[in-house]
Amino acid sequence: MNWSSFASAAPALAQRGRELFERVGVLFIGTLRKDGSPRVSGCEFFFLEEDLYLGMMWQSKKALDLLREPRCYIQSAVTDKNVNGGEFKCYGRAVEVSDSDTIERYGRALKEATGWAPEGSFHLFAFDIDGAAFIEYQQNGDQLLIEWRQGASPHERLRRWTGSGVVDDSK
Amino acid sequence: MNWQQFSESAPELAQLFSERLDKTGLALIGTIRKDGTPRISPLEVDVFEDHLLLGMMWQSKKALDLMRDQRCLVHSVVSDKDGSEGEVKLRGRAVDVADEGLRERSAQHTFDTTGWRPEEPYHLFSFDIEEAAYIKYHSESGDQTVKRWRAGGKEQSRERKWTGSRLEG
Repeated sequence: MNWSSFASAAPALAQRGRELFERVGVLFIGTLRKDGSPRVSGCEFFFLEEDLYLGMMWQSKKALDLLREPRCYIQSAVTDKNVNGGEFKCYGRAVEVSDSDTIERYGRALKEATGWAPEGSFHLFAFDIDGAAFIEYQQNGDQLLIEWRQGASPHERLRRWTGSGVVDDSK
Repeated sequence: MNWQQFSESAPELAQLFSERLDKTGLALIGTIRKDGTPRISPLEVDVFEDHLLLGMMWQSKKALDLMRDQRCLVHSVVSDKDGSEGEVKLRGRAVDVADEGLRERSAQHTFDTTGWRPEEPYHLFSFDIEEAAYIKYHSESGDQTVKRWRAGGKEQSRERKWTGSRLEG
């Protein structure tokens, strides 16, 4: 589903995800290389209308990966050792946007928001979400986890730190 | 090859990765999930003796991914959008460390540096590095500096010029 349907299904999770993405202004995308091994790349993103858009340089490796295999994984940037503010990740598919009206609206809105828009050819994908998770690491080692999968309700639980690992606490 | 061999073969890239690692002790790792799709996870990384060690909680998803498929990508954390610090990627295989002596010495090292000792069972992998790359975007010009290395070869560096719509070189 698109970002806005995801935000209706799991509002708290979607809000945390968007905040974490926008805090740094870049996210990470995991794609599959031709040989089936993983690639990780920094990626520009922009929220517009109903969608989370991923913009990529023309013929960049990550874009070529996605044209071959749209299944991918998105992760918020991690900037410090304690992962302050938590981390957000979601998986799904990158759907290529070929409609020229949408591409033009995207370029205009991006330019208005950031002062910059790509010139010439570029790849634009809309992210189709299947599942997402938010993890917050607390000072005592406990982890707060919010998970959601398409078709289900978001589920929140605490993973308690035992000194050597974490165990689930239903919440 | 292990970290020590890598840093002899590609000293500049090893240095660039170390500098970024020193800031946080963290990196991101890309692994392959059971269904063949990618996963990204934050990860604690430590250079110890000859190894780049990847420590993971017992039965964590990323560890289970690596037990199934060793191929992975370790990416430096990037904290700003303009990419002024540049990013380093290391590609290779995560090899399960079975050597009890190495596990014990690295656990002691973790305790000495952090005050916390990992307790068995936990996963410890030594990263077998096959390829490395450094990419730095120059936000004003749009140019890129790229350094690459592959096992068996030498470090190579090039400047890619931004033409206004694409990179050349």
